[in-house]
Amino acid sequence: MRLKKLTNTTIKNVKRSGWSSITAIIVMTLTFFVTSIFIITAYLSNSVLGYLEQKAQITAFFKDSADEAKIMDAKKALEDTNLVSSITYTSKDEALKIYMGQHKNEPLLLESLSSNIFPASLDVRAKNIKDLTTLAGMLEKMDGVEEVVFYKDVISTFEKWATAIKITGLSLVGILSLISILVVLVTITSSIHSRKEEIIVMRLVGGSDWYIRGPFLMQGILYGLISAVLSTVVITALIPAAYPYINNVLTGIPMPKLRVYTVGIFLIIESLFGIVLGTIGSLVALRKYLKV
Amino acid sequence: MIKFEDVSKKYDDGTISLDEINISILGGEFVFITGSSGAGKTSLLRLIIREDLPSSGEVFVDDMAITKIKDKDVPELRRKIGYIFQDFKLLSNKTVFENVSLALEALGRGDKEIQKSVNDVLKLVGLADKKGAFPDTLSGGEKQRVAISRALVSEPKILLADEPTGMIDSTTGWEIMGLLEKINTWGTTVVVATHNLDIVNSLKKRNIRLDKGKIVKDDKK
Repeated sequence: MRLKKLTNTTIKNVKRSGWSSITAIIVMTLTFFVTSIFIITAYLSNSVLGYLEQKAQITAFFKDSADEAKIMDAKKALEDTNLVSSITYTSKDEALKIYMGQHKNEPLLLESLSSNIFPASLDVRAKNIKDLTTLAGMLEKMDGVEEVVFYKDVISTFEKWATAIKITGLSLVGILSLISILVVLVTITSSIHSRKEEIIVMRLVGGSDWYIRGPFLMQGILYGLISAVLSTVVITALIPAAYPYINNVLTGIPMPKLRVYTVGIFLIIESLFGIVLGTIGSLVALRKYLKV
Repeated sequence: MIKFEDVSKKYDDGTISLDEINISILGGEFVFITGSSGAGKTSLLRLIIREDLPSSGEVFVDDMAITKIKDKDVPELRRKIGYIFQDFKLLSNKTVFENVSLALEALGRGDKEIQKSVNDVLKLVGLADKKGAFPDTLSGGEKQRVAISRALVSEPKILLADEPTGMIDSTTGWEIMGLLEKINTWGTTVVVATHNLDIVNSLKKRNIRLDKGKIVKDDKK
């Protein structure tokens, strides 16, 4: 019964605050949206990193002049060092096949291709990541080697980018959270002011602390929850649409599928986040402007 | 029931609104606090509901020392007291029924109980047919009856009225006083602050007269 009354008063407050309520909800939705994007980006960059790490650590591309026997010699020489955990040979024909597999939906592009333009390569993985430099040095000196791509550099460059993205994302989430709290604070403060008379009367008839403050606290929490749901709906609608673009950029990297479970987790995280932001905003307003 | 012990109230600007006040009001008494504007009547009532604290001395309400009770216990004190404001303090966006029920909602009472108590009290003050009306459509006397209903509905031990006849005509004023007397006969302690001497003189109740914050007269029982 009291919960019903609390809910009714809260909804009345939200409605009475009109545009302020809408502003609070928009700002909070934006915060959660950016947070979601940040979480997704962080998740993707981790997948990419994992993928890069487990993929070949060194790839040596051979000149067209180098025949298969020569490459096999190189392979044997590397294996003899006992530092290698695996070596995979990819011939020119196989490289073409792999490329065609990745671009099977683009027949025009594929028509003009021949295996000649793809180099043969050796993908080398070291038992110990520290020996990569030694192995890469050996390969560079070998006859017939055109180029050695050292994935350690790629990985560390990517790691730097990922860190930069995380810092930027976290800062953005931080700033937007602060703005959300401020907007909730302003909205609740104006709600308190518009119900000043009522509050005076309630205080003087002995209304309990919770009875008077409850609806305002709930108002902030409600903004948070509505925004969390809105943001989750938008994100859920956007992710499938963004998939092809993401796949294009991150070709070959397996992408996690969007599941009901993932959406549920998003909703729970954002709702909790919403409750926290709404509560902070409301409590600050109550502490400052509503002394019972 | 209500006791003032050497109570003084000074404000930061140096104004003294109450000066060494000693009063003892027993349970079930009907007391007038009289005096001209600025004599300290409202200050005295405000101390009883702990809207304000004394600069020195102590006020006891039903054995609770108001300077010693914690903030969280203030609602408990106020539930013992019904307060009737000079300007009624009715909420214009709520009906008569809603204005009165507010006092019970604040105490967390259930819907059924609220329904019954509010209807009973409105019948008592003669406003049963106006419960759906908004305050702006009521006369001064009717507004005052709503204010009394709200103060009364939670059945407080003490009823404080600040100039209850101040904003209504004299006939209605007499009706209101009659109502307060009736409430007093049920055992409720009634304290009325007023400068309407006609009423005070004819009702023959205990009169505590204040002048510049000091008690200049107290017809103790």
